Amino acid sequence: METDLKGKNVLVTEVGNPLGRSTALAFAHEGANLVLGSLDDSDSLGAAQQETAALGIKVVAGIYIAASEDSIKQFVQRGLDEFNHIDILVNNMAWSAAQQTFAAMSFDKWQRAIHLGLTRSLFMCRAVLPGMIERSWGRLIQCIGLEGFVGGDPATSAVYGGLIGLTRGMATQYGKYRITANCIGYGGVDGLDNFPGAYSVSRLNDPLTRCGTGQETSSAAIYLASEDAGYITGQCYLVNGGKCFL
Amino acid sequence: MDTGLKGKVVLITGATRNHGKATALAFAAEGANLLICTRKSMDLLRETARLATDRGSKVIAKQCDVTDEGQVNDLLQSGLSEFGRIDVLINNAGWRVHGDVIKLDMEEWQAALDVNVHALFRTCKAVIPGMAERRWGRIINYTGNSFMRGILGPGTLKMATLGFTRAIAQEYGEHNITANCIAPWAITVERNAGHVSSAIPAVRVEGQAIPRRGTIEECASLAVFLASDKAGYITGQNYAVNGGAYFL
Repeated sequence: METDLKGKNVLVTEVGNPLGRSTALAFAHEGANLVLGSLDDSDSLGAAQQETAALGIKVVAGIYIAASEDSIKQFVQRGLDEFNHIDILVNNMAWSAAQQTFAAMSFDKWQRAIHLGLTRSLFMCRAVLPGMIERSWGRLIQCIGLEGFVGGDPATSAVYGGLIGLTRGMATQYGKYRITANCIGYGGVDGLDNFPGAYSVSRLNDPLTRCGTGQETSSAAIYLASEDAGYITGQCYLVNGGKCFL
Repeated sequence: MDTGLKGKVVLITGATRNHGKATALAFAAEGANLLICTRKSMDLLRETARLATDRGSKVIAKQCDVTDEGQVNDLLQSGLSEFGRIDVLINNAGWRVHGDVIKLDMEEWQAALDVNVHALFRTCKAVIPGMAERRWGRIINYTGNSFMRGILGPGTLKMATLGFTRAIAQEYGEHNITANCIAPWAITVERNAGHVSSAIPAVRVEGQAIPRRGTIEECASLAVFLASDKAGYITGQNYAVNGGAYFL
């Protein structure tokens, strides 16, 4: 399938986790240039940078502070300085958060998690949107996990739900600029979810009783970013081995 | 239908008018007792209380800003001293934020996040332990249809509400506590002067399955049903009351 992603500039966040890393690699295989970001994990960020750059594309990488819109703007600016524009944002918020019960959760932790997940994503979208509007083309992809659909950690559930709402809002607001906004709802991602205690670990009664591989999980982002997916917007596509259905 | 709500204690936030008021009166008609609050007009809240009292309810009406944990705890204490427990929590208080993602005022965003999302955390923290101890409880959160129509601010916050509701449903189902959302649309409500935002497309009921606006009482009846003993197997859901404007 021709994705027309060669030479496109793609910003992928949280490449320190397996999903972000496999997504970055998948775009690199398509010939896209990359801006890779991470909250703090500079070792795995460096590894992702090396691995993707080895495929012959241009890569810049940086870290940012979640609480600070300025820090996120500076991070995005590094990408703009290098590539002049960002075509695609893959905001990878899907992670298997440590499961905490509502009973045990403090308000401070709740508030921080909402900021880290929801408001940070808003900051990231605000930073890349003006350039997409100017060029009348863009793809905003939010990667979320299962909790928004089936419950689990209360803050994570709220964040993932909120990101679906944010996606639909952006789809409505920016469709006229040929910018699409979609979510990918992951679950059972190899390396992300297959450790003891992970919420979305594959279970025997799942339709697919195995984890999804890196390639299987990142391909949805490639498709949604492609030229052919230009009429898909405001949606949440689930890539979870059938762990839940919409 | 016997709802089993007689004598139950229902906490409703934002009960001065519209959904909050209609919900309060619908529970009053079932013989429930009420703990109602508002951040703003105590005059309007007292009117809701008077009407509910006329229907035979015991009512406590208090001023409470749900973004303030101390005030939420004070409210809870008032309810506990009078009634000894809270059985049903209706989170109706809300605050809208509108605007383009890029131009969104972050202070307004934080304020809306506080009322629509963080307040749920506070009210649930206040009432759920007692519900769990008594092994019976109902949490009902008003959402709306903003996320079905792609309205950015409210849609984001109300989808966060739904995600949170599902987490509560998941965690407390074993304690016989259900958590659900009600999504009203095209309901005739009072609005403040100047409240209607150009960011919200006007309501068009012509193409709906039921081509008329709904009433706040029609929404309130769903809250009563969801709170009833008969609805004990419904949890984690978002039920629309929308004249068939869209189907979930």
